[in-house]
Amino acid sequence: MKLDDRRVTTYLPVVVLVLFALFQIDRAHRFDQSPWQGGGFGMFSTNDRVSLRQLRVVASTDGEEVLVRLSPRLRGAEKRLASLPRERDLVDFARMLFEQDELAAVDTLRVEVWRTEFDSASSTARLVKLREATHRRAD
Amino acid sequence: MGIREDVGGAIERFRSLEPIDLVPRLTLVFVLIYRVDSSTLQFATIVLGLTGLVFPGLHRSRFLWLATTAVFGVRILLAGHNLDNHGYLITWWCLALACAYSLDDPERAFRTQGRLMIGWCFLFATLWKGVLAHDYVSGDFFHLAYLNDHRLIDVTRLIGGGLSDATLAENRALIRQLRDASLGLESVTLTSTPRIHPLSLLSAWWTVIIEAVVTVLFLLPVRRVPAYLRDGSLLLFSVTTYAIVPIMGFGLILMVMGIAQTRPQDGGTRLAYVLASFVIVFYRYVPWLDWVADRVV
Repeated sequence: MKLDDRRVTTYLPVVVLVLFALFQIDRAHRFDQSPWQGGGFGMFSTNDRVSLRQLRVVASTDGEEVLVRLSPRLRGAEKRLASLPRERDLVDFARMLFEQDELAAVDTLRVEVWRTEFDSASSTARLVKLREATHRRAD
Repeated sequence: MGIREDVGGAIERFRSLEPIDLVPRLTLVFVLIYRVDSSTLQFATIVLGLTGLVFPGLHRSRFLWLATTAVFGVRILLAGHNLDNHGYLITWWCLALACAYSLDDPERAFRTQGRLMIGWCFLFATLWKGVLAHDYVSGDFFHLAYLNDHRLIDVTRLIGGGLSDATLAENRALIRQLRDASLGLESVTLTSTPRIHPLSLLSAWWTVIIEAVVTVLFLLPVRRVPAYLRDGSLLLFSVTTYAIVPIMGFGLILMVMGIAQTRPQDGGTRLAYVLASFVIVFYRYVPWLDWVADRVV
């Protein structure tokens, strides 16, 4: 069956819009992408936006855990991970952090992404862990 | 000629403008003022916008629109998946114009594209709000937004029932502290009033209902929906929603798409969309709610 070129050309941008939106819903479901990003038109539908997500990096050595303070130059990477916290990207981030001198003695890094939930009854905003990935130096 | 004749004549000439010229020119104005993070891409959008507006006939060139699509497309690629929705929508709309101007009857094409893109955009927005998000219809989203989002300060001051600037600033500081991993906070309690939650529910349900109405009216076949209902729903959505949350980028692109889907004889409706665009810009730049709140509260 030969497709009508005029119809294909007319509907192409509509199809692109729909496909990108569906891909974004899929990423939100599988990888907890923030609904505010990615072309799915989920802005202003939820408090789960990147500016209300938190990235935490916890270093552990011999069972002792310490929160790692991230350099401001990593802010872009932080934002990307908070927006789309895929496990492989969290692991890659941990792997990159191991190269820093101040983490030379650290055995394990755990990268966590938290989101903010709000309860209207108590007017309380609380952090809820969304995803985490652990990477050992030996891996 | 006096000013009345100038303005009256301009309005009459506008009403007789054909969408085939009006739609791309309005889009180019939007492309010109649209801000992108990268200075290189910003240079490209400004040059493309100016070129299309200055050189006669170029606004109908599919190559100009392909180039504009490519620039916005690069922006999507560079941002990864971190771009806000209007960044995608402007890209798809430029693609729509590139496709339309490669056809013999571009006006017919972008009439269909405008209607369907608005319909699908609102369908996904309604889906997120009404089904996928767990904190929208409960009012939790708007409740936190009224207590924390600086864009809604004036609405909160006006009808929130006694929340001062200082209290709202404290709420925003508490949320910033919650986000700061080094402080190790697990939760914070904000100051609210009894009025905020009913206001939040009203805002949430009004928005999801009007968005669902726009979805249905724009996705149903054209002959089954009177044009005044379709256009009226989008205009109502725009002037009510953007009064509270002044997202100019998204609002203006919706107005251009609204114009694109009008019938050739609907010059008055196209004028209404342009006036609604002025209203959206007014909401964004004129602190009218602040002025009202100062006098009422």
